[in-house]
Amino acid sequence: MPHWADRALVIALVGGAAWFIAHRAWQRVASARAAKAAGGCGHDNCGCKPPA
Amino acid sequence: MYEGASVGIVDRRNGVLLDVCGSRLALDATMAGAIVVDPTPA
Amino acid sequence: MTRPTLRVALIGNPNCGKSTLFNALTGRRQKVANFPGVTVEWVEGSYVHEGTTVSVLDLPGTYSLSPDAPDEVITYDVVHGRAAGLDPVDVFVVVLDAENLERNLYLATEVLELGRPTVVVLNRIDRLPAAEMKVDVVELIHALGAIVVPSVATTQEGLDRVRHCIARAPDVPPSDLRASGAITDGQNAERRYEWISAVMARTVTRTGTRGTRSSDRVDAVLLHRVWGPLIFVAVMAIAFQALFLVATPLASLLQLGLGSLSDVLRGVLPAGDFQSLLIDGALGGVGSVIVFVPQIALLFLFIGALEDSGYLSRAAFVMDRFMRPLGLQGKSFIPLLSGYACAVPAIMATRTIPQTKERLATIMVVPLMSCSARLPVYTLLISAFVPAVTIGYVLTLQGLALLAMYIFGTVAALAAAAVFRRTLLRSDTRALIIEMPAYAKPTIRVLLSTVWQRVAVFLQRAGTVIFAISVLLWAMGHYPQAGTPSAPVSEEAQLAQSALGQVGHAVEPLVRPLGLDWKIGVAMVASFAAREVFVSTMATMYGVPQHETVHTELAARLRDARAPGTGRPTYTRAAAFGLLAFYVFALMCTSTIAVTVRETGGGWQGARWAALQFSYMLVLAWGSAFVVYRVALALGAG
Repeated sequence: MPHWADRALVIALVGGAAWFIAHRAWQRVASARAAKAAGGCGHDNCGCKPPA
Repeated sequence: MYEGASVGIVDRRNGVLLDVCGSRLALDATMAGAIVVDPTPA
Repeated sequence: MTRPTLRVALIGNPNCGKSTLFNALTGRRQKVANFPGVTVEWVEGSYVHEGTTVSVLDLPGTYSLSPDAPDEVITYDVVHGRAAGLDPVDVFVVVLDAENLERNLYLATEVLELGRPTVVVLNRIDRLPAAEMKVDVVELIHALGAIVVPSVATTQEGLDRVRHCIARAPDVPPSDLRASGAITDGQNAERRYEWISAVMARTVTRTGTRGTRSSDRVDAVLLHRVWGPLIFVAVMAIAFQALFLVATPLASLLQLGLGSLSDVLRGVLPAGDFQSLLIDGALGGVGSVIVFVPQIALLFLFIGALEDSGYLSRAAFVMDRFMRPLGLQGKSFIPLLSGYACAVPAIMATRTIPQTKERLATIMVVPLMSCSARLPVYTLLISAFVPAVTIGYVLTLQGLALLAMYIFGTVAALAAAAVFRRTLLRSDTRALIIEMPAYAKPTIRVLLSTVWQRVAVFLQRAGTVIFAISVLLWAMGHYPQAGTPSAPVSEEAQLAQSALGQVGHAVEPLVRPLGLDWKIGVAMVASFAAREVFVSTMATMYGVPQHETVHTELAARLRDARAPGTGRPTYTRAAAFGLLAFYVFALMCTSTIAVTVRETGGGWQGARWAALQFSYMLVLAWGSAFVVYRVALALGAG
């Protein structure tokens, strides 16, 4: 395998992994925000009463 | 919610094991000691 | 395409077989347990009946429709159509435990009074002969004025009829107990029980004498003030010993498989950075975590079997006496025990504790219980630094060391709880009432599906998050490159030069007092995402190839590592003991932090509790690591 191909594969995999971790973290933040915007308390499936 | 339910005592050696409406409820010694039995007119 | 047209909610007392019925109806596997109140969140599933999609909601168990504990609030909200983000329910299915009919009918009458389409499922009719009871179903239908379907959820008996009745329920005029004059005052519990007693008298025939069940004779021993705790300790000791006897050969087998997989990859891929990334980085990282699947599976199998047999509630009652001086109650004991497997479900299980302060205190200390993710770290360090000496015939020094880790964690958790309950979370300890479910033989199918569910979650993490972290760690350990392809440098020099090495050097002043070096510093920093990453990071840093003996080899390399120049061991036994102490106490798990935030009120309030939890545990971890290291040095473990 030529050196550049080796390098490209490594960059693709490492980049993918970095994107995955960042995406995961962002999803967590976004879902909490969405739940809050929908009138909930911001937690998933919690027993809090919705605002009267 | 057990108000008015009939209660039988199964075992009182280790805390109290009660038979309430056919199911077993275990009470610890503190709670068992705090129970006061009120006689009611038959 | 079918779409959900009928929404069904399952309601019932805790431990009435509701979740088993849910699984049987929908085919979806949900955790089913014999300890009252394990369904701490709702679960949804669906099935198709005659072209209609029926969506089923499994609600937490509740004794009545007046909410007391947080998990009962969920049921209350759904029943009254107040749950956020949920469509109104079309049909209520009340699940009754035939064995505990009298108490179960209380909730049933409350639901029937709502005047909504309702199906009553009389579950566990197979246990009636053993309980020396007979139930007249026709009479029960008359009394309740509602559809009553007998079933045995565990064997799927009567399920077709349940599905059929659910489909018909909206067309059947709802029962109206109030209008029929059965119960006039909805809130009066006494009147309600009078009515229920009358119904019981008409429908139930008891063939035996009340109050002398075979389980009572068993309870006389298991709940005994002396024998009870002793039996409990014996059960735990046997279980932990069995865990290692069975899990170790299985783990070796897995390592063998991983070794041959990496050999195959090495043969297929051309040598280069990419090969190294796949084999040393990804496969090495994921593999070193996967070999712990047997231990984790067995731990869940064991806790699951205890739950399903009904012994766990007895254990909670027995342990109450010991929890009380600490300011906790018997109910706190179940989350603490679950903490041995994983803190995340354990923290969720605290919802069964109705008192806010006792619940918070339990949440705060649960992560101190040694969870399964710590096992890889313990095993690695113990096999590297504790001699494999046999004591007596069965015990080994390494096994005892491992047991000690669990004991340290448990003692710390209990002590921390006592501190919390006497300072920040002070309140009176309430008396304990706990329901003792009848003993039952655990259903193997249900048990195995529970275990598989847990293992699947673990494998999913290994396949996604841990895979990504392993890849990133590999990259951080290889770049910036110290040498050139034509003039390579040694692995160690490369690591020292890399981004990972620089992070390690930055935290070195913090770990130096513990007798550790920057390499361990790197692994510690990396494992703040998840503890098990410690092992994979060390494997990556020491470039241990995936062979059948990856753990043994890594352990040997740690033991034989020599400081450059002096030739003395890099890691002394004292430092390893200190590091073990660090891992016993430190909260290094992002999932736990996330679930603590959620369960302690969410938002800033939850974040504050989580921050407190994280920092007190970090201080405890560093402090005890320091003390252990210094004491061990003084005792000559240098």
